This record gives sequence, C-alpha cells and structure tokens, in this order.
Amino acid sequence: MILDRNIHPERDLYFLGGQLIDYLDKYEKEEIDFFDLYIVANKDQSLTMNLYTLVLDWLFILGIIKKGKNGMLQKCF
Amino acid sequence: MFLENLKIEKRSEIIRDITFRKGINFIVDETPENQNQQSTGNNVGKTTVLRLVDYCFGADGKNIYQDTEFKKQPNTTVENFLKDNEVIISITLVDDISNPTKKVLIRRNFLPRKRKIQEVDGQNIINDKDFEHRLKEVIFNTQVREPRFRQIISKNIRDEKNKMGNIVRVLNSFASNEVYEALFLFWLGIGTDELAEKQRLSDEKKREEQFQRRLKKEGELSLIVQQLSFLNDKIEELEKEKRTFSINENYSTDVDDLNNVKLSLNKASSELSRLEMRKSLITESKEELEKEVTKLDVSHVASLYNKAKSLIPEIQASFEETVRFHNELIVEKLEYITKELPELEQSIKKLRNEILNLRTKEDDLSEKLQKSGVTEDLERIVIDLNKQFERKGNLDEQKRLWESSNEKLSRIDTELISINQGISSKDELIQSRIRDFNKYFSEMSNRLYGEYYLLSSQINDKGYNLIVTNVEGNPSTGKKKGQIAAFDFAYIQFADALEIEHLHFIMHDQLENIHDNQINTIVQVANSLNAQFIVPLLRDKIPENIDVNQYEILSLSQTQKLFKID
Repeated sequence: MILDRNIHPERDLYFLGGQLIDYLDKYEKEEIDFFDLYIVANKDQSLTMNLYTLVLDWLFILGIIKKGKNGMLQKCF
Repeated sequence: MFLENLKIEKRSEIIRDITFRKGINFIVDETPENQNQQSTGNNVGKTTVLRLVDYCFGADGKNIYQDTEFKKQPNTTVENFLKDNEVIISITLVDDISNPTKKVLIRRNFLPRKRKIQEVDGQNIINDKDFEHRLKEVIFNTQVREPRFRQIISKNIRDEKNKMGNIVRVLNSFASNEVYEALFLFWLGIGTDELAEKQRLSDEKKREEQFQRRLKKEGELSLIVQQLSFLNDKIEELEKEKRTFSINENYSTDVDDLNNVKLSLNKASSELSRLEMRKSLITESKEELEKEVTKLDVSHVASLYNKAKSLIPEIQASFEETVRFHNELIVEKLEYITKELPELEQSIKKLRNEILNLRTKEDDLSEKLQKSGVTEDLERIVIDLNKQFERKGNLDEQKRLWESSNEKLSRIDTELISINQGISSKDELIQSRIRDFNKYFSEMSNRLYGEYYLLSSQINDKGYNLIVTNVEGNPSTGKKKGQIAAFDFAYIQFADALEIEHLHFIMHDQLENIHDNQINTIVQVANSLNAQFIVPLLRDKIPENIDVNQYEILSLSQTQKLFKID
C-alpha cells in the first residue's frame, strides 16, 4: 500500500507523500490550508480526496504534519 | 419739308451758297465725258453735296472724305481743309418752298468736343443722340423712339449702295425685321411707341437667348437642380458629422484609463475563475467528505498504519492517534468548508458585479475614444463643408440666373404677343394705307415705265414686311432706278394727301444709267410734283432736249470744285 509492486509507482503513498513534503517544504508558512494543498497536489496528477487524505495520514504517521486550527495542517519540520 | 438752302462757310467767308428750287434740281458736272482719263468727272464733289446734306442730318460725315474701301487712307486734303478752316455746313428747311411759314436751320462743323458745332435753330446739341432726337421732333413732329431719324430719312438721300439699289430695304444689311417693321409703319403714318417697344423687346429677347446659350454651356437648369439636391444632402451629412463631433482633450488620459480598466478586468476575471474553481472543488469534496464521515471507514487507515509499522518499527504516533487525526481532519474540514461556502459565494457575486462594472466602463471608454477624433479631423470636415458650400453658392447663382432669365423671356414673349396683337388689330388701317399708297405708286410707275407696280405687306412671325411687286411679273433689275424714283415720288404724293409729316426732297445719286427717255419723264414728273428731286449728273448725260440752265442749281468742274480747293 505504501510501496506497491505495481506498475504505477506514482500512485504509491510513498511517492505521493514525498511529493507533498516537497510542496510543504517550498511553502513559506507554518500552516497550510487542507484544500490549498489539495489544489497544488492536484496540479501534477489528479488525486481523489480519499487518496489525498490517506497520503496525509501517512505523513501524520511519519510525524511530518499534525493538525492545526480550523482544519489547517501544520508542518512539523 | 423742303430743302431751301445749303451753305458752306469757311470762317467768315462763304464758299458755297446753294439755293434749291421746287421740282428738278441738277448738280451739273461740266467735265466732258470724252476728255482724257485724268479728268473723269470724279472728285469734283457733286455727290459730296448730297453727303453734306446728310451730314447735317446727323451722318458721321466720313464718306465726305473717306473711301469706303480704303478707310485708313482718308482724302487728307479735304479732311484737313474741313478741319483746319473750321468749315461750317448749314442747311435751311422750310415747310413750303414758295411761301415759307416755318424754317429750320441746321448747322454742323467737323471739329470734335469743345469746338464742335451741331445746331438746330441756333441751339447747340453736342450729344449725337439728342441731336437726332431733336431733328425728328422738329422735322417729323413726333416723339416716338423708333424708327430712328436716320432710318426715316434714308430713302430721301439715296447716296449709298443699299439706298440706291433697294426700294424699301434702305437700311444697312444688319437691320432686323423688327426695325424695318417700325420704319415701314412709320412711313405709312402709323408710327407708335409700341413699335419702338417691340423693337426693344426683340433686342432684349435676342440678348437673353444669347445669355441662355452661354448658361447652357455650364449646364441645363434641370441638371443644376439635380446637382443642388445632391449637394444639399451632402452638406446635411457633413453638418451632422460636425454637430456630433467632439474634440477629446483628454484623449491620452482616456487611453490610460482604458488600459487600467482592462488590467483590472483581467485580474478580476482570473480571481473569479480561481474562486469558482475553489467553489466547485469544495462542493465536490464536501460530498466525498460527507460520504467518508458517514462510513467512518478506518480500514484504510488501519492497513496503512500496519504497513507503516512493518516498515518503520519506531513509529511515534499510535494507531488511535492516527485515526483521530484522520477523522478530526475530515470533520473539521467539513465544518469549515461548509462555513466557507457562503462566504465564497458572496465574494464570487461581488467579483461578478465588479467585472460587470468594469465591462461597462470599458465599453464607455472605447466608444468615447472611437468617436472622438482630434482637431485635424474637425478641420477636415470644416474644409469639406466650406468647399461644398462654395459649390452650392455657385450652383444657386446659376439657378437664379436661369430662373430670372426664363422669367424674363416669358415676360418678353407675353409682351411681344400683346404688341403683335395690337399691331395686327391695326391691320385694317395698314391695308387701307397700302391701298392708298398703291393708287399713287401704280400710277407713277405707269407714267415712268408703262408698268404697274404694287406695294404689299407680308406678315411673318417677326412682324410686317413690305414688298414691291410688278403686276405683270418680276421687275427687271435695269429699271430699278426708275422704280425707286417712282416709289419716292409716289410716297411724297401719298404723304401729302394723308398729311403725314415727311421730307419733300429726294436726292438720288448715279442716275446716269437711266435711259434718256426716262430722264425726260422723271424731269417732267418731278416738275409737276410738290417736291424736290435733286440729282447730280454729268452734263454729257443730260438729254439734249432738256433746258439745263433752267434747272441747274450748281455747276462743278475740275477747275470749279465744290470746296474750291485746288
């Protein structure tokens, strides 16, 4: 699930998570809106909301983000 | 009126004093015909006597010293003599030669301007027209303007080609029918001012027609009217353009404004699309999120957590924590976005309004900029307008000329018609006068030639004309001189009988061609009439049976010339 042996590595949580980290890294503020990040992530490839939330769960597990106020996401790095 | 006397004076000296008699008057040229060529009888001045009388009646006198063909070579001897010696010619006219009760004295010299003498009964009348008018007054006792005095008397002094060769058409070849009509009717004692008016109108009509021909070159009236209406439309168009024309002094500011508006419009549009995208996204994800909340399906999270745990043994977050994060994130998010949605719609609405406003502003500005030109454009319109107005003025003037000319012509025509009707109504009188005249004329022609000639009238569209016809056929040209004499004699008888004012003398040059018999008859007739017949003749041409001395009033020769110059 995180790292599938399938033929679409770009659908892996691992890969997608990496991408999100990349965006977050470039983002200047500590907190980022759930949807704004979704729009940015959606730019390169279409992402269902389900998959997007799973990627966010994955990044939470890794301790990269945590929940901020008003549904904002807070960077932990 | 009879011609009593002709005097030629040189200062105080009298050169010639010729007294005329009743009946035939001979001016005899003594030069023998068979003499050598140098003395042909010409140049002695016998015709000049006729011309001097004519001069006193207002002729220009040039034929006294000028050749008709070689006008530039005057007989300077005679001209200088007349001018240098201040020669005065005078004639005396009387109402009755044997028992005069009224006399008219006419004097003229050959000097110009201040030294000019041109007298009627001692009154100097320098202006030639006034002089002529005065002569008409005293001799013919009439005030009518037409025919002119010179025309009336032209049949009495027959010294030039037309007068010698024609019976009635005695004027120069340019004389129009209207002129002749006035003259003929005057001769018949029917002179009226209407005839003068008719002549004036005919002249005016001719002038007007000439004028119209010139106008026609510029265009017919109908064409001008067409052009005018076209031009009026064009002017109206230009006027409208000028009226709606507004000079925009803030042209460049307006351009900047427009650019700014466009920029804002751009910005607003992209902002709008961003908001709309967000809105649609929110709506979309709201559904999805709601679905997820209801399911609260954590199996995905669980399998994710398990996998992560197997990959990374020391995970900080517990599974419960992860599930909480997951759910809270979704719920809060849901709550938040549903809260955000109206706000979003509000701003979209606001933005739409703003865009609408900007659009209107943009339209206004572009229209303003499109319509308004710069000063040069207005100048072009004004110049164009001026040009059109100038052309219009030109055409208007032409139209006015046409209309006034047409009006004038129709007025002339109406007047002419009414005058012609007036003259026609006199037709009876005219015919009766012609009948009277023919009584004398046919008798006279019979006496002279044994033939009967008749005068008759012809009417054409220009008016009356007189013609002489021979009862037995066309008159032969050789008898013309005698015919003329017959006409002139008959006229004097006719005029006397009807008491028409006229001149009782006839001067006829170049009678030499007439046969002896006719000269005899003419002398007889002339002596029997209450008239004077004054003819210059070569002595050799006078038939022998005539007692010349009895009728001779002047004798001239190479040694005794008229002016007594060598």
